[in-house]
Amino acid sequence: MFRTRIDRPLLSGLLLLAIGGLVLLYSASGGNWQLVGNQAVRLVIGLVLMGLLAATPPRYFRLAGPVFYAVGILLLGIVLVAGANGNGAERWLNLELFQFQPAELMKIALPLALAWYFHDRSAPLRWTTVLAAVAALAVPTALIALEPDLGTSILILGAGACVLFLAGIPWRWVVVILILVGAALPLGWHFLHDYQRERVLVFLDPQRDPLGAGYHIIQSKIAIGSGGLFGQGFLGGTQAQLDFLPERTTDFVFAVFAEQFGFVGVLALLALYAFVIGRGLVLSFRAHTRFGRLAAAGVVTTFMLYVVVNVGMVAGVVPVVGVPLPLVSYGGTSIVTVLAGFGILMSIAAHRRLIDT
Amino acid sequence: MPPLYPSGHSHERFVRRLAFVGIVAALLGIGLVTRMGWLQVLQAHRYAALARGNRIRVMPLAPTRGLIYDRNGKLLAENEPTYELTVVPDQVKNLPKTLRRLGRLIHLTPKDLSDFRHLRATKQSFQPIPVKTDLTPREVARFAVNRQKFPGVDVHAALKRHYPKGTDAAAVVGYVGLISPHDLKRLDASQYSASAHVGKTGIEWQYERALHGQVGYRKVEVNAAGRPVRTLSEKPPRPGDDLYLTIDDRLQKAAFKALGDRRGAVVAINPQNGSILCLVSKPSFNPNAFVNGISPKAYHALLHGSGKPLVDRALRGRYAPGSTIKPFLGLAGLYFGTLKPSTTIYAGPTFTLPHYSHVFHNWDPYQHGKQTLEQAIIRSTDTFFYQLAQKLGIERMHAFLNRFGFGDKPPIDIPGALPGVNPSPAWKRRTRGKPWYAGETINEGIGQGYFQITPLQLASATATLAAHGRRFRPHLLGAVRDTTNDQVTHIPADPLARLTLPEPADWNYVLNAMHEVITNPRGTAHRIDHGLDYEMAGKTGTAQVTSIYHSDFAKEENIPPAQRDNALFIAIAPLKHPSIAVAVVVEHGGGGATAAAPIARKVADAWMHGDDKPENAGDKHVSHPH
Repeated sequence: MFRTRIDRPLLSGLLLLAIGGLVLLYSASGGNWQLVGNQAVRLVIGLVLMGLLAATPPRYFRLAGPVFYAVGILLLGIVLVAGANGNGAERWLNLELFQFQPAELMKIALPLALAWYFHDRSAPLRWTTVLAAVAALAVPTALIALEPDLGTSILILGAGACVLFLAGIPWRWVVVILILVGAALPLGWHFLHDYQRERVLVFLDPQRDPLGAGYHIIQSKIAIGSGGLFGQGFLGGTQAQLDFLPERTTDFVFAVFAEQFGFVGVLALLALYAFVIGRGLVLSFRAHTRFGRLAAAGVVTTFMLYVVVNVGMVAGVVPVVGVPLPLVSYGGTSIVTVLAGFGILMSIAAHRRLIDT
Repeated sequence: MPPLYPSGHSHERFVRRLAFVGIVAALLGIGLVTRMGWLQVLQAHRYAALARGNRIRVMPLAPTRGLIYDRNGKLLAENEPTYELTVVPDQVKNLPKTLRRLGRLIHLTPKDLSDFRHLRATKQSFQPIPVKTDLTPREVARFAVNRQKFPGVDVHAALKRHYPKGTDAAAVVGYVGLISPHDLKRLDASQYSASAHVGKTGIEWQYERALHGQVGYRKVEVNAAGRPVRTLSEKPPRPGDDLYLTIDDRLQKAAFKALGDRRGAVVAINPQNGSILCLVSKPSFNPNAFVNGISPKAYHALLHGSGKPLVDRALRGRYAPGSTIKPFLGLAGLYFGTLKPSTTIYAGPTFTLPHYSHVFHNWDPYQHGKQTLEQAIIRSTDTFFYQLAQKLGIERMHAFLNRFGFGDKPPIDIPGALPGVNPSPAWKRRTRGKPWYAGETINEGIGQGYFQITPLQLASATATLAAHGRRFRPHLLGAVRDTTNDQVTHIPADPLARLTLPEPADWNYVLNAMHEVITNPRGTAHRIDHGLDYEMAGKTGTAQVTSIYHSDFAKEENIPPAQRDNALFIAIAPLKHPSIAVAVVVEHGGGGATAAAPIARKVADAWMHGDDKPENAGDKHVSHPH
């Protein structure tokens, strides 16, 4: 029974990524077993959670969607008012036993809530419906951006917008919204923190501050480029091993991989991610409820944005916004949330099969 | 319960849009792959080079500066171990803040900070740059305790130049100072990439190349913090050569002591090869004050202060030679046949040029009778030399004195020597735009008027006289020791064009007259004869410095010091085979016999009584007979 609810191709892809990630973390951390152990524990927690969620009937997720969303908004508000300081930004809620990032919850809650919202509102959508959905998307995005956590807010905005798009808002509205967003960009710039503006400026010209904000991008590009076609070999390379590459176990772990395994390795890794994303899209396509399709697509597009933004950031084509490489980057909440998302996806996929059979 | 199967229309739209999302995702994926291919395949070489540049640092290694010894192997410049506080700018996050915090721990003067800024401009930012040198053990300990609070800051053992003889040899050895951006323009910057000091004056400046040595390199692999992880290869620096100077520390000391608080200069030269045995200028300065940068205030005080200690009077002091010029003019008379050893000239208390009203006095107003050149030298008879000058004429005087080097910049091997003035009508036209007057020739006959010599020129000319016209380039460098193989290279004497007289015996005639200046009871320097156990020749000189002519009856102590005459003396010893020629100038010292001659005697004594006469030691270079 439990076995049938797990999508084996997807599970294989995720496990390959996660275990490969542990091996890479061993190298990136300079042989720090404790760090690898911590991550392995989180991986197990994530897998267990994934299994539990996969075994849960999808209708519970539909019901839980708006609840998660409301709780998420509440927690984000609390974090803003009295958040524990982490890395200069207020993102964490200290729950004695572990620290919890409400923004991570929102990564799952928002697609679920939007899917729930659109579940019985089919096309042609009324403009009030769309407006309400845009507002439901804008509020958490703004709250997270205010924390400030630009990376996560962009991921949530992207995934939410994707759900809206799949829900079938008319093209001309898509165009109008894109124009509005484009017009709001200069305004948004005004609200950015100095360090965020600096990141964007540095992205445009890394040599602007080569030892400060530009350092990450410069060193990361050197690490990737010096990997060459076949890489410097596992545990090899000098950029990561001699500490030139910053945050090499977290946001910039992809550069470590690129340095050690080269372009060939990068192609393999991206192919693996493409497989997981593709499989996710197929499962979403096969879902039989409108909620299921939208929620599944939301989970998959969140994951895809993770990969694109992180790799783009490390490769110097996207500003450094602090997005981890899913399943590989060291860090607790991210791996658990990602696996939980895929658990929901599997539940939705399994539900279809249960109906079919 | 909402319908499980939504309308097909809605589903079709979802599929289309999902396909669109899939296509966008695929395009993004292709974009990323393209980017990675660009970085890892097309630009791989460039980034591989950048990665190497990241981890490999070439740390320059400073060579040890060569030592400077006197002719007997006494140290004149050495390297002292010292502790310095250094900062690697690359490893410091906030340099101004770090310096402020350091300042609370170890007192940093504004000069320390400005020196640091200047040095920083000459060094790469991954190199340690000294912030404060000469740390006391207390400061070293205080920093050691707080070291972990200051990443990028460290205490290094270094070598610091020290001049054990201090003021005594300052005019010769010179000093090193911190490299300035200005210095870097003339230096090979890569050679000095690890050095903080460079020679600024004297021997330290002149032989900078030999003393400095060659920079070495250590290729190290560093981590991102800039800390060396391991050494990949190393080329040790080549230490600088040790220099042996020709000067004798004992003579230097004797001259320095004999001059006392008076201003002046003493130069002694070995007539057989031109090596300089002592070169002293007073007042002097402590070269150690310059090594790690002198404060602008202290420098200003030295530059403009009483007696201008930084002016090397031996090379740059310009004085009227007074009567010390007489033996040379006597030789000119013999050379041109104006007179013979036996020629007598009537020399009275005064001399007047025909058709001129100006009366030229003799220093001794009771002077009467006919004199030979010998007697005129012994008694320094002005009226004799007035007539000799009149007969020679200024052109011949100029030409002959020039053969001794007067009026030319001495080719000595330290910078700054001045040419003085050996006047001629052409010179006067060039510099003053006026014709030469006959009366001026008469004044030149007793070394007054336009005539200006430097103590070095006077010593060098005296050496030429002592060596019967053989001339050598005056030099301070005696030998060079290659510290890598201990090979000592002696610097050979460098002969200049020899001056020959038609009658070679005339050399001894003049030298004997100068000998009698000391031995003859009527000689002007007879008072230094007492206790002299070797044969010495000499000539006094007393040069007016003011236009006021005062009679010798005026009591010297009644004349204000600034208006007193300059006292000069030249000496040669021993008479038969001279090994030392001395020139002494004492500013405002009064009479040459009383103020300058005793100094020359003390210097000659120190030479003649020294353990190592030129025959048996020290003087390693052989003269080249000409």
